[in-house]
Order: sequence, then structure tokens, then C-alpha cells
Amino acid sequence: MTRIVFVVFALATGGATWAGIYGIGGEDAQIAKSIRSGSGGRIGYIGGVK
Amino acid sequence: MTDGFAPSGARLAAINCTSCGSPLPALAGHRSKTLICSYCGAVMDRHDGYRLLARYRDMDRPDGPFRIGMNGEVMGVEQTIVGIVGVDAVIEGYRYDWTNYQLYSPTHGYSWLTWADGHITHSRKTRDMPESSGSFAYKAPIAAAGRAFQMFEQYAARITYLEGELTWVPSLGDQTQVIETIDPPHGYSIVMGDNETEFEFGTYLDRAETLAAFGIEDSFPRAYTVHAIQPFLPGSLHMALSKVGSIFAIVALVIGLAFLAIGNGQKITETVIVDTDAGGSVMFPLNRPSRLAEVRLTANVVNSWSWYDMELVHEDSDETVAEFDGGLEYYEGYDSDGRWTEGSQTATFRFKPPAAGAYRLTITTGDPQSARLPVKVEVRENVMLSRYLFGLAIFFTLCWLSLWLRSRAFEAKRWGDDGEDDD
Repeated sequence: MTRIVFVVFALATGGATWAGIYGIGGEDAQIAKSIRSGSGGRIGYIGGVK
Repeated sequence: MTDGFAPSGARLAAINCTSCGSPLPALAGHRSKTLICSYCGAVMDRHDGYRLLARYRDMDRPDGPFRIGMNGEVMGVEQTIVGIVGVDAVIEGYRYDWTNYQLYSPTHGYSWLTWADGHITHSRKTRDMPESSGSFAYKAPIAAAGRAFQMFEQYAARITYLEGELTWVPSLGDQTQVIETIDPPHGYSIVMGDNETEFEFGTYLDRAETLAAFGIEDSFPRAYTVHAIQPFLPGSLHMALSKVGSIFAIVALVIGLAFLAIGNGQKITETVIVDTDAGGSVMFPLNRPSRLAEVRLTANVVNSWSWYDMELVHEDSDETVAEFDGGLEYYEGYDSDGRWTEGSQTATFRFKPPAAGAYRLTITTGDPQSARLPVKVEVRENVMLSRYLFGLAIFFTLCWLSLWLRSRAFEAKRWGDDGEDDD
């Protein structure tokens, strides 16, 4: 049981570290929404947040 | 009449009650002194031709899973239930009752199983006297039988029911003074009668195992109380969560603190826009599109607010990536509690640039009522987040401490310190 919990906790810690480094979920929602509103990830699409 | 304690009496035998004639099992050995009829309550002297000593009619058999004649292994020894004694006691104004079952083993002699509130314990007489002397104060240490016990409670135990073969001549209503000390899963009792003092060593037994050993299906109500000598036995999952949680709480905290220290990233540029009505812009390169970038605005707003419209343009294509707005507000003052502040003179906006390259951020006043102040604009990239690791550190710490808290609650319940009102 200890080994299973160890693996689960290690994966959680690794996931949190990865998310922290790459800033997953750290974006300002308004900016992220504006960026996402572009088409196909193409740079230059004007977001319509306001 | 066949008597089981005759020299050849290792076999099962039976006699008829000399009072009512009912057949009664004779299972115990020679040291069994009395036989109490299960039907008429007659107390007979086994060493004097089953002479009638007393009769207690209409005794109600106390609750319990065992019956006379049952066989089972207790602590590695094959035992037979040969007698039943119901007991009650009034402790701190509350009446408690339990059932003692006299056990007999041809090789190990006599001992007791006790059924109390769904708990099962085993006890036997011991020659070990207390190694320490002095007063038996509540929770005071008492050394005996090579163990360190703690004084648990003292009470007068009264016999309320008798049945089967017993090793002494009991009377209904007989009382003994008992001092109970505990060192879970063991207990040590000092039992003081009118003429003698005896010492008993007790052990808490696993209920399921014990009932199964006697072939009894466990359909009895579960134990809701904590027995005086019940050990705290958390499950393997909780043990693992606590043990591993103690390690990873520190790991997550250390990584989180490291992120906090170095997670501010690298400053790309910093500038001050003096006239936001006219608008201003700042140019900067962002080379890590997979990582967070951050725009930090700082203005000396005091008891006021300012609001800005911002536009992020990818310079290489000269097209707008995002439009957003945001502001600062900060208030301060004094009241009866002293100085107070509210809000912040800094606002942070984080985003992931869609592509590497040069960007231009344009900032203009976003509301006619907004305060007009110079605003410092700072851009950083490679920003890291520590919030997930701190969240995990809290979760792991709770896993770690939950076992300790559960243990504390268990002990509080054992000692009656949990604040529950039994009324």
C-alpha cells in the first residue's frame, strides 16, 4: 500500500511541478480568452474581449 | 450421573441438576468448585456431592455471543466456555455492564473472556504484583508484569448473573473493588475481595477472529465505544497516506519555496508611461512561448483608482494578439483599530505568448474617471507558479497529520476526554 501511495504522491508532485514550470492555468483569463479567440492559433487575430 | 472432573474427566460429560433434574454439561476441571444450573439457578457444590448452596431464580442471561460448551482457540490455546458471570458497576454516576465467560483449558487452566459493548478481551490471573507503590491516581503510572501501565479507573463490580461451572463459590450481588490500569492492548487489574486481593492480566482481542474461532457468525452490533485497552489500529491505507504524506509534504514545500524564490522569471523590460491619456507603448521580445509571461503595472494610486485599456501586438506580423483591460485601486486610512489599507498599487497580468518574437504592448487610460498617474510597466518571462505545490504541500500535510489527529481523538474517547455528553 505504501508503494502505491508513494507512486501516486510522486506523480502528483511531478504533475504540480510541471504545471508550475509551464504555468498551466496561470494565465489571466481575459487575455487567454482573447488569445484563444484567434483562428487555428494564427497570430494576428483580434480578440473581442471588451 | 457422570462427572467431568473425575480423574478420567477430560472427556465431555454431564450431570443432572440436583435441584430440578435438568441435564447440565460438566466441562471444567477439578478446580471448578460450583455448578450453577442454567434452568433453575441452583448453585451446587461440586466438591460436596453437588449439594445445593443457594438458588437464584429468574436471572436474565446477559447479552453476549458465547454459550456454555462452545470451543475455540484463544491466544493459541484451545479453550471451552464453562461458565458465565454477568457483572455491572456504577462509574461516575453511569451504570455499565459486561459479561465474563469462564474459560477452561486442560493444559492452561482457567481464564476469562469478557464481552463488553461489543469488545472482547481475555484476562487471566497473574502472580505479578505491582512493582511500584503509592497512590493510584488517575493516569498515574503503575509498573507491573514488566510493563508500564496507567491507572484508568476504580469501581465496585457486582455480580448480576451466574451460570455454569466456576472456580469459586459466588453469590448473586457479591461485590469486589477493582482498580484497572491500562497499557493497550494490555490491562492489569487489581481485584480486591473481602478476603483476598487478586491480580489479573488482560489482553484486547480481535473480535472477528475470536468469534470466528468459536464458529460464531458476527451478527452483533458493532462496538461504538473505545475500550479501555483497545489499541489504536489505523488501516494500511491511512498508515501509508500519513507516512508518504510526511515525505512529500516537505518535498512539495521545498519545490514550492524554490519556485517562489526563482519563479519571478527574467525581467525583459521596464518603462514608465507618464501620460496614459495620450497612450504609450512598450516593446519587448518573448522567446519562450510555452512559458508564462507577465505584465506588471505599478502606479502611486492612493485613495483612488486607475483603469487601463491594453493591446498586445505581435510586432513581426503587426497584428493584435489580445486586447484586455485592468486597473489598480488602493485605499488607506485610520479607524478605531488603527491604520487600514485596501487594494494594491500593483496589478499583474499573465499570459502565454502564442509565438516567439517581438511584441508591443499599448496602454491607454480606460475610463474617464480614472486617476491620471505615471504607470510603471514591467515585463517578465519564464514566470513559474508555486500555488500547485503549496496546495499539494497542504494536502500532504493533512494526510500526515490526520493519523496523529485520529490517534488523539481515539485516546480522548478512551479516556472520556472527548467532551461527549453521554446523557
